[in-house]
Amino acid sequence: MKRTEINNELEQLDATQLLHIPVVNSFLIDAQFLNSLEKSILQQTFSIEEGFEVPTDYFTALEKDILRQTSGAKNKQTSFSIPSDYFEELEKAILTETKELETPVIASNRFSSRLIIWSSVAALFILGFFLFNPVEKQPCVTFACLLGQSDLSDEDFLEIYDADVADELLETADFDRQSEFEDNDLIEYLIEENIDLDVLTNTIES
Amino acid sequence: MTSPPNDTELLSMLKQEAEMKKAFEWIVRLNKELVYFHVRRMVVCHDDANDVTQNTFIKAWKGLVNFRAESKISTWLYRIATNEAITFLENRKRLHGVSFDEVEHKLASALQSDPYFDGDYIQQALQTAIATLPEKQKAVFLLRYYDELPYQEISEITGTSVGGLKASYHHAVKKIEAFISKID
Repeated sequence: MKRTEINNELEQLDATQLLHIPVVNSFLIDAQFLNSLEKSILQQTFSIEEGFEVPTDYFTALEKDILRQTSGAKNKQTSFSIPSDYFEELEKAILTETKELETPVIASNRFSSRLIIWSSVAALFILGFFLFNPVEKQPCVTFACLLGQSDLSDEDFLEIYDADVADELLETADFDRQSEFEDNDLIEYLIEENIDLDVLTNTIES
Repeated sequence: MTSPPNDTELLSMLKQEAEMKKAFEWIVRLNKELVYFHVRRMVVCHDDANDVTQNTFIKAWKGLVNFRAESKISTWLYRIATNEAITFLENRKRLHGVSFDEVEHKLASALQSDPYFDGDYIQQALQTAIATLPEKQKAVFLLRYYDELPYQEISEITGTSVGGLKASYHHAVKKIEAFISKID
């Protein structure tokens, strides 16, 4: 009845191709498919009504799992786990081993003693150099120098200069210091030496 | 209950909480084939049809409380199944970005290699032509041509006016005719 109605409609639409194609179900299914589909649908729908199903003892296992994970959280910070009391045992082991060893010489002390030795050697060398190679002061042998130091005693000369130089100087300076010049004698000396007094005076003044 | 209950009996069972599961078992048992083949003609592939059919009944179970019995149970299931199939096809198109020509080509090769398709050359051509139709037009054509539903019922399923449905069906027929003529 309905098929006829549909075919009439197709005729009105001039759908000749469709009219000649048999209306069949070309889609196949396994014999048991529709039964399994029904079971599957009912399983899903009724589990929805009853809420989510969980395996037996799921929550007990979940609790244990959470506790196990949280207790390991401290060690997880470094990602490495260590035996319990590891650090206490480590401290004891280190202290035991270090007691058996000699007290180590600290490097800085060793350095200091060496420094002192070498410093002493250097100081002795410098002192010896000056002791055996004294720097002698050159004697002042100029006339002006002698005049400037005319107030020195013989002992002073001897202290400053060595014996030979001092004797020589004292011999030459003896006359100057011990003789007393008188004007007449000086004039006679100048005449004898043909020295012009005016030239001499000018020289002294300049 | 040896003989299957009719719609009136099923509706009264659905109103009693103790009978609700039993009523739904009957609904699945009586309509699974109808729903499956409607979906199968829409999506073609058996595995996809299986998924969409199961989703259809799950949605029906969830929406059982809101079912007002203003239409037949089968019409209500057709509506859910059609919407599920259209949503599935649109999602697949969006995900794979398949063009019109690709759909045609893929479907033809899929039908040739499908062990669950027992159609000759002309049947393959017809299914390929149907697959090229827009989703809603396809649903209208299938409900009319294969399931032989009256326009009024198709209108309840698709939520479209009878006049609009007739126009849609005529367009679909013309397209299929043109497709098959081109192949011949």
